[in-house]
Amino acid sequence: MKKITVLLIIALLALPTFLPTVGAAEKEVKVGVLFSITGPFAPAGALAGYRGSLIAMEMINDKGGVLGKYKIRPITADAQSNPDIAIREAERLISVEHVPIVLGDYSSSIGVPLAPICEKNKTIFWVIIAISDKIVQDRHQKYVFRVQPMGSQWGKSSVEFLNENYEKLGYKSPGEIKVAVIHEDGPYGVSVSKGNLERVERYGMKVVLKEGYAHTAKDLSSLILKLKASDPDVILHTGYFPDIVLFFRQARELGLRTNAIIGHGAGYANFLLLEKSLGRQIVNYTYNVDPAPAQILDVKKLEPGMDRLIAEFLRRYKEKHGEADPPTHATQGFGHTWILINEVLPKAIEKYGEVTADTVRMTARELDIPEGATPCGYGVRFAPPGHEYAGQDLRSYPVVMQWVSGKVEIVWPGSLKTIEAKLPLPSDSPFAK
Amino acid sequence: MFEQILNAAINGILLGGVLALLAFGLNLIFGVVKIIHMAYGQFVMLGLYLIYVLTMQVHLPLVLSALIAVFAMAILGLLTQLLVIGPLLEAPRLNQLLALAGLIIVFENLAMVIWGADYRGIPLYLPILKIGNFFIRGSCLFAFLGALITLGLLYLFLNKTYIGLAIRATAQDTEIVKLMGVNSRSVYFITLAAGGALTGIVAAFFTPIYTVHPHFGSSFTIMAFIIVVLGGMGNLLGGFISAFIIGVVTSVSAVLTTTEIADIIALLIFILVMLVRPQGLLGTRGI
Repeated sequence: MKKITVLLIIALLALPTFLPTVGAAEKEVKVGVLFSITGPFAPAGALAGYRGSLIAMEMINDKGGVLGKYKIRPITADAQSNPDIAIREAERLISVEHVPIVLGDYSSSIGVPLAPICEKNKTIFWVIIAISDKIVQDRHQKYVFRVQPMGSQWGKSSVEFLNENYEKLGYKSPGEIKVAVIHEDGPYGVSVSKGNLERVERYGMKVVLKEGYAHTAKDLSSLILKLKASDPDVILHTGYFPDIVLFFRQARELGLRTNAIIGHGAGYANFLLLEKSLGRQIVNYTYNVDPAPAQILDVKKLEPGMDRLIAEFLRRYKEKHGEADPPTHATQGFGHTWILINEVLPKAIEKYGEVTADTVRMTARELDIPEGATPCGYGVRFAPPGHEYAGQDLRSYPVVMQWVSGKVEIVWPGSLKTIEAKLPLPSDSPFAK
Repeated sequence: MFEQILNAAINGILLGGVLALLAFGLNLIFGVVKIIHMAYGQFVMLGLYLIYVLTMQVHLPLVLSALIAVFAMAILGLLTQLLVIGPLLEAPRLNQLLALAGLIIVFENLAMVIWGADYRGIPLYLPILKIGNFFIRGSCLFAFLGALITLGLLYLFLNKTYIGLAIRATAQDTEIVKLMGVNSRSVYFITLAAGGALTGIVAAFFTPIYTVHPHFGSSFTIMAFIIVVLGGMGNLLGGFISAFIIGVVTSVSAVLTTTEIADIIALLIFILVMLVRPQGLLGTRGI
């Protein structure tokens, strides 16, 4: 009797070990989700991107998974805003978790070193937010894909906007505009400023100051003194978040005057958070270049079904994180992940029968999504191998937005514009000339 | 150009005041307890959070919030002495350093759990002071004056009170003061409380300048450490002077070159001083 009892207990204890085997009949696709969930990049946009990505996976899983049967299993990892930790975590995802895809992160300082690591390990690196050109430029990678527009496109867009609006500044030609280009000196800032300068040169605008600084700088007063001395019409600024706040505070204290301050993503994307830290008067009429957040896209211009998809994403985001007006990084996280799991993975499974890095790579390369058929608005067509920007979506683009009395408005390109830009800065701005 | 350099020099002096304020507590603690307070910047970070919460969420007046923060940080200093530094006073220096470095992780993650990764700042603007073509940043002038007053009060405390005398004596020779009837344990507690209170004061003066996030402290500890070493470890006046050197050099050279090169120049000066005077500007050998 005693023996039987012991055997029964052993059998009972061993039972759960067999249960997963039963559950394993449900197929799953492991996806490494690597974002800076903590550290300085988290509030600047990485956290919002991470949340958007997870909502996309959750929505697919709620429908039974990819093609209704392959559940997405996100394996999350925190890059902690530190490239060394990001590399370590990516290696763990690849060699321990054996994920075929790593998606993330926010910062280019992380994206630039991560791309060749994934390439070497024949693992897909699906870039969600990082924008530096260098992630793809001249690397001819096969396993790296990015739907997000490139840094140089950011830099070019702000200058294109100026080129079309020089008359508002009282000039007869764009060549009369005096531009100052200031940027954090990491790959992100350098990449954007190169785009700025390339386009500024093309239109013959005058560069009155060009300077980089460390995004960890504790004091930007000397830079602001130089800006004052050079008297620019427009300041093209690329920074993260603490440096942007420091810049605005010190610029106000030192009496900086200009006609427009145009930011390029990162901290500028979260106007609400900037307003909380600086007050409305300071942030009002500031510009930001970024892909448009889903909530301000004109859904009538998108393909049928996108309106419901965006509404569902926004509903879930608000329900989970209490934000009805999430920053654009949340749209990027959601939209770019959605393209992977709703467009690439089903086709990979249908065509090749399984999800591996190679089947994802081959499917992604054939992707051809027209404008208006993604939750981000833009279409998808990746640059082929051999192209200077192999793996880069050639159809994505950022827009120029302006923060006007607590509301984000699109001011460029003309086809998407929701208002005429308030250019030059209206007199109620402390920076107005 | 001359006007620009002069303006930068004024800014540098004001920045020096901010940095001097930052270096005081670290210097005091090293001078007396002979320990490098690795989590010093994290104390400042907690002080900033406390002021933020009391002002923005509890809606207390800013001055009252700052006073509460100074008091709370003094208590945190006492607790650090009681729970971390005290038990390790006789331990090898590496163990002390590691324990205090551990505090960095504890405080940063604690802040992350409580307040999340968001940046928090009080939208507080002091009046703009304009004299001719020179703009003086109110927030930095405020911190600069704060640094002068704090140094003055600290000087009076250390030189005119019995406890101050005991602290200075302990800083000179721990063993001999015991023979003189000074309870060095109490002196350590008072020093850590004073160091903690100083971080609260720094936080109060930093409030109009910076936004706070859980990783705010790290780079400030490094900056404070460079200033303290440059001035001579444990020497308050040395720290004060070196803060102004770093402030002015960084500001003026940023105008003459770029912001990036200015940091290199400031650190090159630091390395050169270390090569010529390893004990720092006003330090004495043997510490």
